[in-house]
Amino acid sequence: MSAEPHNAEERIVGLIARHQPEIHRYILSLLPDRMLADDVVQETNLVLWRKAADYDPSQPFLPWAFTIALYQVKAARRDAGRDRHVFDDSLVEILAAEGREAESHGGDLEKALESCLQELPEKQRQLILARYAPGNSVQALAAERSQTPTALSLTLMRIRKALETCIERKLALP
Amino acid sequence: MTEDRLELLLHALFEEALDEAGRAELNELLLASADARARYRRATALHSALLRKAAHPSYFGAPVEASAEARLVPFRRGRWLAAAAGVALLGSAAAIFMTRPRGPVANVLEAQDVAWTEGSPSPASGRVPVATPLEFTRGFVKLGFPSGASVVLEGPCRFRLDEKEALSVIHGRASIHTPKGAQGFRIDTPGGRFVDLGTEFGLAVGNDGADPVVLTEVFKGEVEIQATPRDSTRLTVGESRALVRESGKPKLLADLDESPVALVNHAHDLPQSNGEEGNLALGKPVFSPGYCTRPHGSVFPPDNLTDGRLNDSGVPGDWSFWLAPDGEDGEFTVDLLALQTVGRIELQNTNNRGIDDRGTAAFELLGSLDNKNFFPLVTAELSRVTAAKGEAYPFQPFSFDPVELRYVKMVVSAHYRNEKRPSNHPCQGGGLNEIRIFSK
Repeated sequence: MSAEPHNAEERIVGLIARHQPEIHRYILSLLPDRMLADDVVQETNLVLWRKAADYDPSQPFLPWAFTIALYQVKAARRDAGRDRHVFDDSLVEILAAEGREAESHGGDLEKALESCLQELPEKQRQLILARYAPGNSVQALAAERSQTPTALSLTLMRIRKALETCIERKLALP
Repeated sequence: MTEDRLELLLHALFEEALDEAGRAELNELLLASADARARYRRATALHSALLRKAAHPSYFGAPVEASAEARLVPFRRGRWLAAAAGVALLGSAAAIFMTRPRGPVANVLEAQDVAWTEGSPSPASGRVPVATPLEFTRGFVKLGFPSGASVVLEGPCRFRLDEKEALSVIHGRASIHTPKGAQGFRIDTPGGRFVDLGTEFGLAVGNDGADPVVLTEVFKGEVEIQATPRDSTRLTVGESRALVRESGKPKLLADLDESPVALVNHAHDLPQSNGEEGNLALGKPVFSPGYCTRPHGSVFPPDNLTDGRLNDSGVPGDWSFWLAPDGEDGEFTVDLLALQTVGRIELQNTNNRGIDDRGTAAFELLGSLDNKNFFPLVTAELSRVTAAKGEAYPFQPFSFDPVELRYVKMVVSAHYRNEKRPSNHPCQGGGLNEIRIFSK
């Protein structure tokens, strides 16, 4: 099904597509606002695409993509107004550098997550997936389940923690 | 302990429930510890994966590769569209550019002293809701768009975000700035469309009671006015027009009220503090035996005197200042609605939007407990407004021994007129922008 890319643009599109998970989590870690992060991912994809000719295929793709992503993050922080900043400038710089380093030895997180989701009790799996479905609020989910929002929020925190531990375990396996 | 605290903070962060103090604490924890940052990265990685899974579940986990037939379309102005079209050719890669539906985007960058109307969404910061009318009665809101264009809105204002790189302003004042590269940004008003050609311009969107009246002035660059889809006019720096309707047809006028159209004191940036603290008169009813009424929404009722809006701002049909009827000095009475101790009154004069044909020269202030028997408070003179364009008009304070009263009446005894016109010109009379009343 796949063939050799015809030109630099095609090569870049393939790389962008393949590395969406890394690009998204890198940007989200610097800009923990899901709407803003989505915008910056889109902008970054387009800039990468436009700069296809500048990319040297003998070099690894991610460091190059992260440099461009960081630039877009900074532009978004400038535009978004200070009250939407979660992190100070100095912390963003540190997280950017460490995130780049950490990503170079990351495993297949998506695969691990799928398998960990399967290990969760059915109710918990449904709840966490429902929480991430577009437009679902904790209030609405709590009402559906006749729970208080606080109790539901606490459950969500425990599920996240369980998933994190599970993923860590799976990624640590050879 | 710290681990638990970090977990709680991260949970609040992902649930978008982290407050100011929480942000500060999270910053501190993460700056202090590499372990905490590693923990944060793991938690964010999970959050990211779950977000992506929710955005396009069918592509989750599947390896994606560019198809051999892939061809990219060149970028045009509608770049998201182009992106979507280009990527659609790439088969399974399509999902990557479409993490969620792309709609118009505008963010509230700053807001000052804003009073949102009951029932209106009130975004203090962040995204402006799409296709939803928003309204505020007082204050200033600055919006930013992805192209870099920004719009400062001044209340009272009604607006709506319908399309990308555009804003519908139904009523109110707007100051638009578009940097290089953001040309094409536009403002839609009930009177017509204003397309920014890389510039800075102001709009005052109002009405004459029946039809829209829109004033515009170009501060920098060029603007295209589209009164109808087939009828467009370009204005360049320094030019101004009033877009009105006469016999149902749109018409651009260079003069309004026998003077060139001008938007004095446009808010290019949000102003600093408003000085309203302790002002007993703010929002209180004001009565006058009469006020100036002219065509195209040039009406100046006395309620404008206590509306908190300054510097001859406002829009046609809803200006910020009071003018006495043509040729009269005029008077008005503020009702504080309760007995108050009053020891100081501040007045901001008007010069009728720079037309300079009206304003108060001399006056008497009187107090009353019952609106029948009045006692004198101050007899004094008021300076002519000579503020340069864009400058705030001064407030002149008048203090006296504090007295109890409910009503404050101002009787104008002499007014300013345009010296270049004959002394019997009908367009002259008393006027005032704002009255502020304080205990001491």
